[in-house]
Amino acid sequence: MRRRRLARIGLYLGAGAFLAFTLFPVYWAAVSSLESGAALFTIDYWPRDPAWENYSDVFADQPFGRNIANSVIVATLTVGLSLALAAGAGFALGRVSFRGRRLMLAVVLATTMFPQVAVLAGMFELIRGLGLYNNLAGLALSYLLFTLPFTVWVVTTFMRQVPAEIEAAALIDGAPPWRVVWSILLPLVRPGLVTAGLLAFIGAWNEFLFALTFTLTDAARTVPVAIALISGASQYELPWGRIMAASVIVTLPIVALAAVFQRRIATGLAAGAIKG
Amino acid sequence: MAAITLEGVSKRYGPVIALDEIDIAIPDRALTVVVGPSGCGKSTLLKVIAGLEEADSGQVAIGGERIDHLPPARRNVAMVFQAYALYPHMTAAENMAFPLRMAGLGRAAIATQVRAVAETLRIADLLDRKPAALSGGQQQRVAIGRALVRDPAATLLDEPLSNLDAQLRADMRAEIAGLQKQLGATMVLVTHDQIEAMTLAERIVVLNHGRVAQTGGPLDLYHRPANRFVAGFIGAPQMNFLDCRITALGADGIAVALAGDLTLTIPADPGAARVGVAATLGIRPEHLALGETSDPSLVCAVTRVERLGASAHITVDSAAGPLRVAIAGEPSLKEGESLALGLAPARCHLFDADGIALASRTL
Repeated sequence: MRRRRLARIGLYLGAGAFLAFTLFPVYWAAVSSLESGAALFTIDYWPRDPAWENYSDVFADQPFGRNIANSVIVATLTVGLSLALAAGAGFALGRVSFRGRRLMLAVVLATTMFPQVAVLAGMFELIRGLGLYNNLAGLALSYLLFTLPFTVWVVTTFMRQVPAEIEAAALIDGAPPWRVVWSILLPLVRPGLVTAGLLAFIGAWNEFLFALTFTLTDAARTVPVAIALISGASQYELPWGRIMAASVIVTLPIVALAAVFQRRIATGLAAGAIKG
Repeated sequence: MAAITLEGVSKRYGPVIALDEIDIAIPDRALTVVVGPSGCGKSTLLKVIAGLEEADSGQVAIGGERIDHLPPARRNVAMVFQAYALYPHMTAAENMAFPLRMAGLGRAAIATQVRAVAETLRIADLLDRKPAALSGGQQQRVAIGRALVRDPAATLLDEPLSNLDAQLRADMRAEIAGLQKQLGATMVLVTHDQIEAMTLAERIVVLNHGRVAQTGGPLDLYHRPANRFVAGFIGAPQMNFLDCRITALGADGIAVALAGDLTLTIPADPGAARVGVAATLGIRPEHLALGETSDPSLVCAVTRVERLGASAHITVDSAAGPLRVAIAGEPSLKEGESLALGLAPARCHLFDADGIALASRTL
């Protein structure tokens, strides 16, 4: 009894420490975003005099609304393209047996080995060659580089778990192959699609290096770059209050997305939606 | 509805021969059971008919038309799988509607047909449930409904009862047989369970190692097994096999000698049999007679008695080898007791050294 109680206390302590460690930066950003001027440089755990103008200034001093829209467009485009390609690839790699299937899966995974900087120059040439420089479509295309490998893997893994009999039943019931994928397999691997899509969205939403390199004008920038380029009245001043306000604003959609989908991911995985 | 014919169908997976020159004619509007031990190729046979696997050679025809080059969708064949293979994300009604939707039927026609089949299968009140909310037996009915709803040329059932518990299995067995009669459907059912085969089939195809061991009605196979494999596979408890030697060929049959100085004259056609060669004598446990009879008898010692209530299985040791005996009622036998066992020659089967039955004259 006593040992169990001790173990439980230990568990809560550990969980508490973990939460404090992960949530403190967010909390600190929120607090800082409500402070202005010199108040930023005193340590307050609760803003004494909340300054909401940081939030309005973010939108006043640069086209931040446009930047958010850009991020939404790029992330959505990335997720859409990734899932569409991963659905097809996952079907082929997970359910069709052909020579070289294992090798192909290994190659897909191997592409994640290269750090972003290593491919930056080559990717830049590619984007420019396609005429997609300073273009949101170019960003979405380059993001496929890091979203596709894991979306393909996740969807392939889920596809494999669908019993062969279910696919066979659909074929016998008269469904053409595309219909088997669309009406039977995709609904069954939905938890996988949601998980992979969410991760791809977060990846695209937070991406900085490609976004900085492949865009030129304020109008084409995405949120992380826009935030990094927020500047103060002089080059000696960093407007922390506004930077933090902007950070809080762009964190909210991700939190909302995770909150909406996390139950679906969890229930999908736990209930074994695929059980025949 | 249509008859199915397979001619010279072969299928191998790498070095494994799953089907070896199979010729089968499956009659129209009848329930045919394909039975055999696991790995005999029976599931492959269904897949070849359904088009899920392509045969390496041979022809498959339904209603006289060759279909072996068609994709599964165009063969007009339905299939019920062992694990039911219902679509987990669709309700029972949507599951049954799926083949009709694929056939391009209108909404109203689909609803009418699904309802009609659901009523036949007594699942009309379950139509809005998803498979996860249905019991095994109910899922089975939905799976059968999905197969029958489009009135296919033939319905293939792959071990449909093996996932059900014993009581439900007996019920579903009767139900499938009843449904087949009621609808006059052509059904091919695959099973490894010979009792299922015996009770369900109008016609049984016994497969062994990818070959047809024998085809016939249930009692044909029971009384006139064509070879030692079928003799041992059909009937429970299993037929007894005793080594023997052919000692004489006469007008009244073949005389054989068993170990223990027992000689029997079995009324069988000598055919290619020769004096002096080894053979196997087979006799079913239920055809052995306890106690003194006019038939030649063996002296045996009881080694084990299993009482089942209505009947009993007795294992004995004899000079000719161990034997199983099945008798009705509750015998007052004890282990170690000795008794005489009568072998009626007319009940005996004789197999040559290759396991082929020597034609019996009386059965």
